[in-house]
Amino acid sequence: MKKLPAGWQMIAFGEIVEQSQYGLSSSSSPDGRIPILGMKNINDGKLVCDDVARVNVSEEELKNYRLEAGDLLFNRTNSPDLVGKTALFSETGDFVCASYLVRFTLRRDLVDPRFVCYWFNTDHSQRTLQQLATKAVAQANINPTALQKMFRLPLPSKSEQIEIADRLACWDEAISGVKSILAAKTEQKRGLMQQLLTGQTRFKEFKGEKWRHCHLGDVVQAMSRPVAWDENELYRLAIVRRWCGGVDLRESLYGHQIKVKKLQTIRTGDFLISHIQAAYGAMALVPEEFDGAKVSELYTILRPKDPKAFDIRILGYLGQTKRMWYMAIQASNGFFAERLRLNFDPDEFLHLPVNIPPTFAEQKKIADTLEACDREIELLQKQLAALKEQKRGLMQKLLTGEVRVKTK
Amino acid sequence: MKKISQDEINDVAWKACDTFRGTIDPAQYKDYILVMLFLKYLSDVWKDKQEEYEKEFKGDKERVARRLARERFVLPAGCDYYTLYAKRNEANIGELINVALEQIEDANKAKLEGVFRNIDFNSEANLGQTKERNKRLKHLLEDFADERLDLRPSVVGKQDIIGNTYQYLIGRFASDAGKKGGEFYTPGEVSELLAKLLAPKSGNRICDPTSGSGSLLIQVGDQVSDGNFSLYGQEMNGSTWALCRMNMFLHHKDSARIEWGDTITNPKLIEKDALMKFDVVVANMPFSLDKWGAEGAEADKYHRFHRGVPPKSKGDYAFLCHMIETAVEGTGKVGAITPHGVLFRGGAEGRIRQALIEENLLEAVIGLPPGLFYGTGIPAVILIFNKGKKTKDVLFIDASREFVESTNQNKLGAEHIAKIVATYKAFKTVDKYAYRATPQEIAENDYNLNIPRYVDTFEPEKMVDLKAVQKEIETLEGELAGVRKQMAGYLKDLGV
Repeated sequence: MKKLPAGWQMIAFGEIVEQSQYGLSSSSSPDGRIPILGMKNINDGKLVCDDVARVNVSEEELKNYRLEAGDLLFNRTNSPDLVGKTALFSETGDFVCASYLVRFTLRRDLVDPRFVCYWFNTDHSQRTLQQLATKAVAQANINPTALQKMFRLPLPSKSEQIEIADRLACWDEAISGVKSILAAKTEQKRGLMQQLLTGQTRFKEFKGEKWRHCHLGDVVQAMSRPVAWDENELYRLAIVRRWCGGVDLRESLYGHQIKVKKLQTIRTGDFLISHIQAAYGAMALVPEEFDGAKVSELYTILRPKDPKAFDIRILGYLGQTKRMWYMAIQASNGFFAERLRLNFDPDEFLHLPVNIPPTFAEQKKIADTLEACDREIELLQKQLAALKEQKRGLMQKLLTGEVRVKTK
Repeated sequence: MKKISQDEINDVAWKACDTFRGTIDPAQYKDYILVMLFLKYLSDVWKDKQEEYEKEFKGDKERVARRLARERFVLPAGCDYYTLYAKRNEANIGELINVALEQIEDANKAKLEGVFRNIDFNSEANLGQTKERNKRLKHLLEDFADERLDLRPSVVGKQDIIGNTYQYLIGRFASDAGKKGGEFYTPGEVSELLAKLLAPKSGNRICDPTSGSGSLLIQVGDQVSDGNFSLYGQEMNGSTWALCRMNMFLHHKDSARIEWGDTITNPKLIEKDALMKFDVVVANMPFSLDKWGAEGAEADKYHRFHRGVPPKSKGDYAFLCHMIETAVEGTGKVGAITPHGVLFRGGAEGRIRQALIEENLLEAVIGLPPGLFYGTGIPAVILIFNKGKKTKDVLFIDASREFVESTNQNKLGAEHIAKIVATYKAFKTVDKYAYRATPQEIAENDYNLNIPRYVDTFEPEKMVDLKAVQKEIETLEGELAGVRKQMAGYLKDLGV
């Protein structure tokens, strides 16, 4: 690390700790009264309190273990990738934490707890903490005493800490703001799908003409594109992920490395259904980047019977709805339960009834609308990633004093 | 007096297994354990009676003996568990046990003949050479001396001891013995459901052609409130057949006729050269049995396979056809527990299925929850055939989602059983639960009976309030605009 600016000093973490305490080891119970925070509530340096287990504790225990705003919660023992995760407690109301978390009460005369928490969450600190951990088979452990002695942090004056934390908090606010918008936009898309794909809400210009009630097989047909086998060719193998997961690359293998020598070629705009996972929503439209990739013979490829009469993107969006996943169950023989295989029957699937917008123009407008939603969601996701990256950069500079903030 | 629980009996039985473990196949040693349990039960009942009469006749030995001789069964002197236990250190203990069992059989010919035929306590092959064998038998006798194991009727009550212990042992060995032997024990509540669905009446003849330990048969019989019914069964596995006989005896079904042999290749319940007919036929058949005897089916003496010969590696329809052929014409009912495959498999099975539907024999298809059976998560269905159907429609019930969840094995609760039975009796469509299908609808589905094609259990998702979402987005955008302004200011200040 570069030299610290004047007025900053490197200190051991222990110097700013007033008190450390392990959490409660009581097991949670459904009728518990007091929320107990665990590892699952620490996410990306933040406390997430929408799904908290509950415990029953005595008044005496609550008095001893009740968390105070400004307490630092530190994950001392867990799987190696989770040990060292840290968040700041800032809720109001009664909360306790689980025993594998350590709660540090900080010297408020010396530090702004937000500053300390940001420091713990820098990439540099997380790496250092991983090194401090003693590792057993699937568990890693950081001894709080060692932590207080060995873990160090650069400390400016308290007023500078506050200024720095204020700035980083501003980015946190932006990040959570974009996250909320992203969630709302996703919900909005779901709502639009409910309305537009069922004809409950229609664009003005198309009102009047009734939707077409037909069999799926009236608008699409199954395609066969078997691969002429070549042991020396490198095949790019694709799969469709469950629950709207879309098409994904599995791996690339040479013909001689593949056991079942039966593949099919997929093309942009194919609608793919995995026979084995159909009931779990494994169906999707093939995007351009997978054009020419291969899938196993246990996929059905559907294409419009008449591309001028049916916009396949409609099927792509229908494939993201629970109704169509249920249709896959109806078209499967056997019993639907986790881990049990179903025999998906493509013919039966094509035989099931669907409602389709009557004209290509209406189909196109619906698909364009939903595509716009998808693009917006994608852009927001990129923006979120950029904001996070920007925050990381600011942390690197501000928490080490490389760039100084103006203090009042 | 504290009643012994099934868990405690299971505990003793499991401990007794330790005595055998590692030497012989669990499929065999469970028989030794169950026979010993039966002997213990007989001895405890006998002791109970003896004490009762001694009290009544104030110790008059002769009168006590005379009275005991008129009991349901006779336990000859010296053949009881306690005498054998006292002799547990004798060098020929295996032989002593065999002799005792033989005498018990002789003294109760009508009821217990052949029951101990399959078991040899002096078997070197099963129990090892003399020294080892004696040690093992001594352990076995001692295991059953556990004082918790008091099986007197006054203590045990009406529990299905043999059946439950058999189920428990099969369950513990399910991975090997149970499946390999094609044996599936029907859990009590599934038997109860099937019994209530078939509702046998006074005077009915009831048959289970794959009776196993007989628990299903007993349950169905017990549905007849006045006790006027007769039970028939056939079981292929010799030792399971013996258990079934013991079980009938324990449940006072002394007149039950249980035959030993393969129901398909060698049906034993024959009357005047024809198959016996029954008012009610039930079975929890071996699922998709391989090598069930297809080679002889074409020339079957009883013409059971006139609708077609099921595939040789899947015996489900062979059992179904047998059951249907043995049901009384015009009124007989058949209830079978089968795997889901019978609903949709094609080929010969598809043709037989179509014929059964076209003959208007199929009455109901009931999908059961997964995990009801020991040792397998495979979900099952109940098929009900009725030779006296009043309608051409078929009722489909999807009961697969309603059960009591538990870690090892799911269960049907009393309310779930009641709902299925009531729905079957009402024979009406119930939203997301049951569907009354016409023969046309079934034909349109190509005679595929897969339940989701008929019972639509789709739960539509909650509708999104688009106006509220848009308002939220606008508020969030407004807030974010403020934050962005602040961020821009900070970045300018920092000069980065």
